[in-house]
Amino acid sequence: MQPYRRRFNFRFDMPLFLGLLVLCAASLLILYSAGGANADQITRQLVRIGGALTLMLLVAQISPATLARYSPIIYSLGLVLLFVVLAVGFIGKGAQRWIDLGIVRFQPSEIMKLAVPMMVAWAATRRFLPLPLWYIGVCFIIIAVPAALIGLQPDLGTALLVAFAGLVVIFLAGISWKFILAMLVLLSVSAPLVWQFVFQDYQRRRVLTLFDPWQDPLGAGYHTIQSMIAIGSGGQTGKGWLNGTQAQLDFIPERSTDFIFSVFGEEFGLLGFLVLLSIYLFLVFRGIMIAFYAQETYDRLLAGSVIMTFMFYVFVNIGMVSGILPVVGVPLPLVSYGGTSMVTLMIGFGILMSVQCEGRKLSRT
Amino acid sequence: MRRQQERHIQRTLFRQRILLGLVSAGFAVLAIKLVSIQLYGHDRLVAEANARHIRSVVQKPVRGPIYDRNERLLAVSTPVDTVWAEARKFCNAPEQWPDMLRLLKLKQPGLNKACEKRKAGEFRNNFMYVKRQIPPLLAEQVMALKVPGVSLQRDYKRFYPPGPAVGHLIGFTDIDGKGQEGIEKSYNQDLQGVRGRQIVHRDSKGRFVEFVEQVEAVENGTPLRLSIDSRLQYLASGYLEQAVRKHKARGGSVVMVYAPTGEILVMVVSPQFNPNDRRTFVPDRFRNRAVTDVQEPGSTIKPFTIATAIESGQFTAESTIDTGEKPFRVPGGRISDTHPNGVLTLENIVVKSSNIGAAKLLMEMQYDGFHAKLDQLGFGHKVNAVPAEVSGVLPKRKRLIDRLTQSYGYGLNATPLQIARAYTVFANNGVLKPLTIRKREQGLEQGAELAGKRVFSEQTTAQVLRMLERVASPDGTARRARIDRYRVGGKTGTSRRNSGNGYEKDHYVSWFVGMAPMSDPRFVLAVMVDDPDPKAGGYYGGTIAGPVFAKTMRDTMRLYNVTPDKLDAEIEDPNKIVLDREPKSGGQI
Repeated sequence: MQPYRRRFNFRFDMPLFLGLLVLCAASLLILYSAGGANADQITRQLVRIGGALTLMLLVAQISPATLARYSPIIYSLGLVLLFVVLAVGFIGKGAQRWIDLGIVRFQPSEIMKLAVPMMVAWAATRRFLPLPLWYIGVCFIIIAVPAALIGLQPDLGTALLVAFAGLVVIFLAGISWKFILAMLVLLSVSAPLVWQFVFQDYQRRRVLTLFDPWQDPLGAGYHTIQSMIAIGSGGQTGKGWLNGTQAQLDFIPERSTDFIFSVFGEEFGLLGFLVLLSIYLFLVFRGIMIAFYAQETYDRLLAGSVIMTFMFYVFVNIGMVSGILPVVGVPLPLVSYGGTSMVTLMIGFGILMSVQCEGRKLSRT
Repeated sequence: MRRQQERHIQRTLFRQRILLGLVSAGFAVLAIKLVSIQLYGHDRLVAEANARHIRSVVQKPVRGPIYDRNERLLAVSTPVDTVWAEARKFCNAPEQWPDMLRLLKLKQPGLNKACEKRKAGEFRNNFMYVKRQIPPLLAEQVMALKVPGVSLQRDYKRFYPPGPAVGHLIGFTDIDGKGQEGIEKSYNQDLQGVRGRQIVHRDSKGRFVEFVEQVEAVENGTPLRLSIDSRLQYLASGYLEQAVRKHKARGGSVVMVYAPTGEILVMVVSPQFNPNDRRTFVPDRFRNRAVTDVQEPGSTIKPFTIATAIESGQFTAESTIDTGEKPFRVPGGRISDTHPNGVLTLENIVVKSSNIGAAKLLMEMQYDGFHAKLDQLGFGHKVNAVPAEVSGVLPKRKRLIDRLTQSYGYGLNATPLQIARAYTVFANNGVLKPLTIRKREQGLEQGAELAGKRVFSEQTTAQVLRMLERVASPDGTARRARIDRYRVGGKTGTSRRNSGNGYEKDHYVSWFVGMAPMSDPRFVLAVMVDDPDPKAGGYYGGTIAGPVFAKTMRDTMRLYNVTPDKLDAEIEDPNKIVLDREPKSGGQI
């Protein structure tokens, strides 16, 4: 064994860390306004940010190799928990997403956002690449089972995210274009079927009103319209912090969580949201760089999936508030109020830092 | 195998580039969409934002109160709450209604019906009243139930503290606060005030957030001060009601005027209605009969006939007229008295109320001059003091019989208010002053003379006053109009009731018009009882209307602290205790 492997090496990535700090600061700023100047809420969010950052730094110290080793265990544990949640929900006759451990309540589906790409990446590295077709089928099953379980909760947004995280790994692992083409055809064929039989009424309405929210301004189009009004009336530099009429007068729904970007757009205007977008763009590019320069296949696939999931979050949320995408319950990563998704995301960034240091270490030798 | 791996590496590199491109494209899409919302939708979306939170709010003014002459409230707007509901929410939660229905004493079917109507219209009309105008305390209890969709709206309800006593005069408002009858209607413009409008910010639940600007100032209604004395109004209404019931009459009116200022102190009508209780409303009862219903004044006209005769210079109070023993025949009819009177002085024509005397007197005079006097006294002309007045008619007659009947009050008609006004001439030394229902300015009451038109000379007036006082003496026709310790004067009248198609048999109108105290007559009071049942105590004005006059005037003397002007020797029962014997300079309003 080489001596440098024994020496403790603090894994850390300054650009990522700085980007995250700026984002968290922006989160606190806009949450203060969106939450009606509620100091308690800010304190709670501050504690969460602190906790999540600490967790991130701890996870960063775990080497990707260790993560790979434990991938199947984490994945299996997640699956079991998903079954438990579903069973409890079945008995309790109602939607169930949480497991209450007394001190902490958490959603097993959150674990899956990381466990699924880890498992797929682990499975993909069991074989020489490119993967044979039957093996890709196995990977699909690895993805489909938890995604279906989550979809049954029902939590369509998270199910999609989990599936997306896994599919990114398969894509990065390098499946043939013919296969992708086949999948696309399958998708376009199955889409009408899904529309007809899988979607609930309220989900269909959401999608339909996406194309013309003004058709039902008080019903299904309400969220999108209020949000677009907020963003559009903000102007070049916004109505000013704490001065957004749509936000402060309670017109924007879920303005501390899913629709926080509207508040940002209304109060800080064009300038404000371009700055916010730039921060996200910076983080995503940095993450992609880390993935590209990773030496191990597992590292590269996992890092790519983590950062693409992050990107997916950003795109879906902002797309939703600006009327490109239907309203699905996806928070704006690291800015929306709430602890669960923040912890998952920060752990993801911890993995990125770990991968980044692994890459640097190897290139040093 | 190796080549395959090489190709795979190439492929993954390519894929990474695609990924980078996808990421960039994604961000570009977001940025373009957001910027386009800003650039192309800005003005429209700003307008949309404003439309959502900027509200123009109409502020309801508080309707002006109505006071009597002593600042007692006759009508006042009290805050009430109206319970209304957003039909969409409210109608879908009938299971949460029961407690509210019990509190509001409502029945479910009524609300169901309203709901079904809204539902049929797919809630395009999302507004519905649950119950209007309930006390704020009750409204608070209702809100505590948190029934879905239910809200409150501040409203004002009109309340009339004197109740039925002022019903006809004051009238009432509709549920939206607009005057419908009486004073409320005629002074609606002043009372209702001016609506204000202000711009405010509202949040998504419609709650007030902040005030932006006042567009139009809200002006509350102007308070209205009437000349009415609500105490007398109340007492008089009681006495009138008593008489109407006792004599099974159709109705009646009482009007009192304070002659020096022409202020109307009392205006009461029977049958009453309670303006506070809409359920008792019968449209036929709203009329203020004291100014809307005319009757022939009958003998109450005689003092004017006598006064005109004296004024002409041809006669004095002592001049005599032979009324004969039989009815007086004239072409076209005959005139009769209740019993033969023989030779009468002018004074006794009034005291004995001789129709033949009045008619023969008029034969000696110029009819035109007599008609002109009645015209000057306001017959055939509105008083213009109270809403909805009618003018009555004073026709100029051609036939002798028609002219002569006017001398004792037939062939013309008048409202009780018009008759009271005519009698103020005697109390005002021969001057007719304009009447008012509003309180006069203070300067007037402190001695400033209210201008008027002279109808009779002071000497004539003094002589007629003496006659009027004799009418209320023990040997006159109005013995029952007398009151203790005060000299009163007046004239009875009993006219046959004219239904419009000629005179009705056994139907009469009983009058008494008089004034007090005779040492300085100021309070003029006219009482009319319509259609008393002759079998229930007679129908003569002195018998039916006299007591109402006596009781009302007695109370007036006491309330206004008028110095008693009867000599002790004239007091019929000196042992009767009168509480306030100390002479005071009372009696001024």
